[in-house]
Amino acid sequence: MDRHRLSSVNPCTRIKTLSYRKVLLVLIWIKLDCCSFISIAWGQTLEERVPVLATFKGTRLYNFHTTEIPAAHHLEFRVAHRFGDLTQGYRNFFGIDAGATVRVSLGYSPLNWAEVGIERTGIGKWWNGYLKLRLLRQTEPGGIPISMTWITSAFVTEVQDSVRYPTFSDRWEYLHQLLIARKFSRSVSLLAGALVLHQNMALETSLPNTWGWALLGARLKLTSRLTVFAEGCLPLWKRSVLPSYRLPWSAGTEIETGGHVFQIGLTNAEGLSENRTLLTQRFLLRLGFNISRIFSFQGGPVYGP
Amino acid sequence: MKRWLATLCLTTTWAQRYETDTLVIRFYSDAPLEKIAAENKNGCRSWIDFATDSVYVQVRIRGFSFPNKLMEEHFNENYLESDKYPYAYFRGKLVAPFPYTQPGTYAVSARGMIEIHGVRREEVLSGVYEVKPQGVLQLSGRFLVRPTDYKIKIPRLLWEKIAEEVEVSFYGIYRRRD
Repeated sequence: MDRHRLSSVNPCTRIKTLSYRKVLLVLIWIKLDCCSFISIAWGQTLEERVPVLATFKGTRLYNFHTTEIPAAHHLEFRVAHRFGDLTQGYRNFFGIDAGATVRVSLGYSPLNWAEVGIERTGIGKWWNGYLKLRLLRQTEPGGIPISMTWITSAFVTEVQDSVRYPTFSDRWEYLHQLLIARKFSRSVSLLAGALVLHQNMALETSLPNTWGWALLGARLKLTSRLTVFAEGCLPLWKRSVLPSYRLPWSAGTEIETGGHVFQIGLTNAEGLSENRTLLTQRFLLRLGFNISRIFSFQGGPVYGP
Repeated sequence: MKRWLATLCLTTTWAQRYETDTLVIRFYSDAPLEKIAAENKNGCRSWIDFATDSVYVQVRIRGFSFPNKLMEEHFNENYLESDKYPYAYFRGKLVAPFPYTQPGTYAVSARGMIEIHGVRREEVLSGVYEVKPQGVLQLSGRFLVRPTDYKIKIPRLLWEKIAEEVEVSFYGIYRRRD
């Protein structure tokens, strides 16, 4: 019935109306075509996978390494200061009267995934060199969920003590660290690691030469330039091996001042180099601070006006 | 019929559309204490459609490369917040019709919206166009951006290190898409 009615309409008018609708459709379609690219692109979503930046502000959380390494051809100069025992109170002005012991570090990255460094620690007169390799780098959106870094350090002390270290090779200690980190959000980053320390001459007779630790660390970003952090180490041993053992931990805040990262913290670690921080036995608390400065040796033109 | 019309419309619009993927954007901050320069070579997309006189530029913030990588990290992390706002945009219209088929060098301006750090502002950008044979246009120009206009916070400590006005320059070769 309907069909019959349509066919009765003058064919010319029918074509006219249809073509008008078609033109309108095409016009809308063109309009859409022009705008679609814009509207898609205006949405703020990243179209490609990129490495996550700044899981941690620096290459150390406080006493221990993070997964970060300086970029290729960048040099990091770092000074760590630790004051005396805070628990003595005002008598020695919370440890500051005792003066600071210092650890100086110099690290250079020849490649984007490798860093070599040398450090000197005041406490225990330790020299150490390290090799830090970035194994995995977290990406977003999706892709690799974690960052992973391997660090091997060799320590040697200048202390010549024929009782403690009968031969030169007894003065050597080695530390291997496998660190895993993830930046969960803009502000929260967590760190976990496995540490193995080998001492050619064990610190105590009851202590084996090789032992392991688990490292846990966290960083919370409060503002773009201020963060708080905490780290701690759990020994993977029985308490009876070293009864006076204290779990080393530290907590504090870091402030970034454009080029410098300044960390102020509180720690119970007896030593300042990792191999002695791990073997804390005495009860004490130390205030301290770390300063780091990165220098770029990456060539390239400076684009002037 | 519909398909034929659509094809016609497509070809007519696209023949006047010029695209580039070699747009280079540089910026230069000249402050008393520090001169900072960065370059973005492979993070930009742009087209100009002379049928509608519209201009579109999209700049990937992570594409900016600094000689000092720590600076690059801070630029992304604290200033431009590229995890939240990964792109900067310009979307506008040419101020006057442009003789894009006549070889020669012309001054050109476009009025439109710049979006940086999630903040949109109306601006007029000017540049120089050189029309070359075979549907090639070469564009270059520069303009000034005030970081504070785009809610990019600079701590008072760093005022001496980052200029109040940053000079942005661009250079690209556009080709006719057909």
